[in-house]
Amino acid sequence: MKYSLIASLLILILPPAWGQTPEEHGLQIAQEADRRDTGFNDLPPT
Amino acid sequence: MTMLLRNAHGEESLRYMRTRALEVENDGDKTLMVFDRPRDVKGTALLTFSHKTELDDQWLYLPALKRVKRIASKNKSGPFMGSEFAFEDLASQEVEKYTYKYLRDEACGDLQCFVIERYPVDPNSGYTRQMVWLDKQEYRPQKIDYYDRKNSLLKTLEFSKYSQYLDRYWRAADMFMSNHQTAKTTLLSWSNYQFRVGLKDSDFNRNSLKRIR
Repeated sequence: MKYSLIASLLILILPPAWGQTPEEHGLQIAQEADRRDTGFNDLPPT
Repeated sequence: MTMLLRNAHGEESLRYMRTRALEVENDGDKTLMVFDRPRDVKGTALLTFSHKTELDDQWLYLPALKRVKRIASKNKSGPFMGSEFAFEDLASQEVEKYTYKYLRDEACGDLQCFVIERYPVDPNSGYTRQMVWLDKQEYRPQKIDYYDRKNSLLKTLEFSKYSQYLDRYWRAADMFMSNHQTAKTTLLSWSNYQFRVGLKDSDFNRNSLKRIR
């Protein structure tokens, strides 16, 4: 009973990856690739 | 860095060049490519200011003409120096330049990849769409298929010989572009990657293109 309650809560709290549209998922992958490659060189003075 | 051009008959032409790139906070990267050899292209330089949402700025310096030519947006789908890379392929690939769609996961060589499709926001792009394979572990591009304005497969860019720098940044030593419609290929081979060497905004100046050696 305890475990099923936790599982139910997790389903409610966690954003379900399977709930993403293909467009959202594609953008998320592109953003993650960009994030990992950011900061490779000196930034110019602002 | 070298650029190896090969035509459909297998005839080759090798060029030597230098590149540098600078990240710009809240905007796209600035990049500069300068040809060193052979003599007929020596001093030719391409300066690119990529932007996240605005159109990119690109200037080409042609030493034979001794003038800096601005690359008009409508010409960015054209070939760069007779290679299979278009001017737009050489600008940094900012996230905002495309809309996206996840297609599937699949094996890509020894790796597992995300396959996504991206659609250029710029109506002047030479492409209707690009299919991109990114490995799931490091999110490195492994392959890109480019589809022309008629939605036919035009080119494929393959990345290989990846190395990691500064314990974080992955760079491919080879980028091989093959044109399926002409059977021509271009191989860009990179060496001596250096990071955080103190490049400044002033190292990417349109007015200094003529003086670059």
